[in-house]
Amino acid sequence: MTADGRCRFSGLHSEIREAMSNTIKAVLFDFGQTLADSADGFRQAEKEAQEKLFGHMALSLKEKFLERYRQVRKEFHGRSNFSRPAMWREVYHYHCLVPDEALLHSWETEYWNTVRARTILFPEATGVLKALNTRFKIALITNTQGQPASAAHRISEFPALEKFFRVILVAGENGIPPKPDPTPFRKCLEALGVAAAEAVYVGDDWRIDVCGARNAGLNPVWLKHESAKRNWPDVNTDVPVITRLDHLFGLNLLQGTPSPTIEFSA
Amino acid sequence: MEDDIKEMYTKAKKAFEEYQYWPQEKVDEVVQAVGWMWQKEAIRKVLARTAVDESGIGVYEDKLAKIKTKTLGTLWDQRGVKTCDLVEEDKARGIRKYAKPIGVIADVVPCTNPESTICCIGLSTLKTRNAMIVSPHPRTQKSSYLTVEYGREALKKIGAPVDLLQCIKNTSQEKTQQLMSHCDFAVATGGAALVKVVYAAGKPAQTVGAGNVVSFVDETVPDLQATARKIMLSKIANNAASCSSENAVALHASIYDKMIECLKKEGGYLCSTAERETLRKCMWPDGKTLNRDIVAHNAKFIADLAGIKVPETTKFLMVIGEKIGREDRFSGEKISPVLTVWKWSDFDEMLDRVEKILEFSGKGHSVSIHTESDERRVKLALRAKVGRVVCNMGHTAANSGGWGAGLPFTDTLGCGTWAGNISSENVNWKQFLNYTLVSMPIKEHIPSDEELFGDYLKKWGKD
Repeated sequence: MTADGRCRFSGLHSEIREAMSNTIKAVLFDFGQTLADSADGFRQAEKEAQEKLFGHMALSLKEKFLERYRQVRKEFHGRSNFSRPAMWREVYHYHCLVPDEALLHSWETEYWNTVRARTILFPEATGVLKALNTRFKIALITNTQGQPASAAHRISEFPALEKFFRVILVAGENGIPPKPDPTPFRKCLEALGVAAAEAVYVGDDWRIDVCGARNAGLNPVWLKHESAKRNWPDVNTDVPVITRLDHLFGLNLLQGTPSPTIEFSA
Repeated sequence: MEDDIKEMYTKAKKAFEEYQYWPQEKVDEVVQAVGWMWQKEAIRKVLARTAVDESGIGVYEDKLAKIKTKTLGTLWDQRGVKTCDLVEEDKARGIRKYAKPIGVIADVVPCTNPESTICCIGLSTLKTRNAMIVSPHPRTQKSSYLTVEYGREALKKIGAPVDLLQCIKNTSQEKTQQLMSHCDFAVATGGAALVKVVYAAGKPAQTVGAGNVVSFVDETVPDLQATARKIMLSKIANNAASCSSENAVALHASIYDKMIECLKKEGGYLCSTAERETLRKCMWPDGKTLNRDIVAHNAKFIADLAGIKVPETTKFLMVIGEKIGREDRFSGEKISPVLTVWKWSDFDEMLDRVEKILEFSGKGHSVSIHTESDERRVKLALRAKVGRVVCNMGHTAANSGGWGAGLPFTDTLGCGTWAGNISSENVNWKQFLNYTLVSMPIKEHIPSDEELFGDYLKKWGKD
């Protein structure tokens, strides 16, 4: 991505890409807001965490606290650092306070319990993966959200979905940098035995997913899911944009995919 | 990459390697150049305004004055001091003492004095031919960064290596820790909690402790109103952001009522028992953590936040001291224009109380006394576990240097081993030097038993 926030287009033009559609061998996905909706979970977990910090730091001015909290969160997310304890430590530091580490870790556990309890798959996700699985290699690259261990990633809550993935890569841990760094994309492609140009990457985040995949040489698809309650960055792009996962089958990129009978889960 | 700590250290080291052999005259020119820049009114205005605007704490006018005083005072304290090469010679012992710099110093700066702390430490590290990298507080990083930028401009003007002064632009706790572990020495000005963090970095360090100044006023004071005025001016300076700010007054019973009236005349508002409880709940909402939203704010703001109606002219709030320790937080550090009032009739008994107060908060820092009795001054100095006893002066105007006091100028007050620090002194150039002693042979002298044990042997015998 360039300094002005625009994606660097080092790859081929979309027409050429489409012409190469018959070469696509793998479809890779992001997880949060792509296959599953965790937005409510994150919103609730954040709200609870803010209350805990505000109470424990013994402050009076809530709005000032929230302003600072959001600023720190933005800075951390900008660096693809999603570790909640690290972020909370910084909020304490700003207020010249030293947190109780044991407390931070218990809050972290509670945070992820809230997120997990409120994470639901998009209704068409399972059906789409099942259909794509007949022709493509399917994989998942997701950034750690700062959970204590990769085993705790939310994908493990959905065994029915997990079975479709030949590779599940949690970036941001075990020495693999988080997306948008090209490393996780390359490692996943290597494990699949597929070249970058032969892979499509579907994700919701412009900077992390779309620009990250494009810069790693993959064919990005930007999913702005219709049921996700969020704001999208205002950018002009020739990257295919879809609003539901089953719209993937309408893309030239995946021409030749058998017309699927999508099963919608509840 | 912005704020790459390794890269910053490498640049600082390179600048240091060039600077470490500069002669005294050139070094003195360097500190004068940087000091001249920092004391300029236009520069101070920018720094003070930025600090107040970004942090929302402190008083612009007080900061404006403080930056000047600290800069000029630090220069004054180091004027004519030898910090390069041969600095001392003891011919009788055949010893020559050579001053050497340390290297790259990490300077962790607080949000209460984000500019003047840099002026004091920066001039001290430059005087001793060291390089300095500042880790600002996140709340005041712009003003700290600007302070260093002005210092760099002054270095550039006279052809000195600009990387002798650097500052992290977008700070974080992680970067501060990285910086401290990379540098050769750390100096950290901040609360007591910082001490552990600094030493955890594993480098030699100068740290500080919490202040909780108790100021005695006894019956020998000739002009109570003048003393009340000194205390008020000191108490409200920069909204009591300074760790040297009076946190309590201990008034002799015979002048108690009169002194309270004098303090009221100077803008003090004495809280009733009910108001005290309301204020306590606002200042320590959970009963133990000082509310950061009241720190270094003015008395009216705090009173409004607590819901206490006070006159518009109120400059500081007063509460009666009740208990000492956790059960009454008013006995500890408040970093706000709130003054606890104690009453005593037996000086020795009050000394016992002060010992307990300092044990709870402020050990190693300082105390203050207004008296005409030198015996009491000495008694206080001998009893109190503090680095400084300030007599007959407003505490903030003297404790860390002042034109009417002899204590060295600084914003970094060592509180000794009492507070887990390596020094109980006012940190200035003295703390940033290594020494190499050159020893020449002298006429051998092996002391006799008489010389070493004479008095003991006369009294107790040889058995």
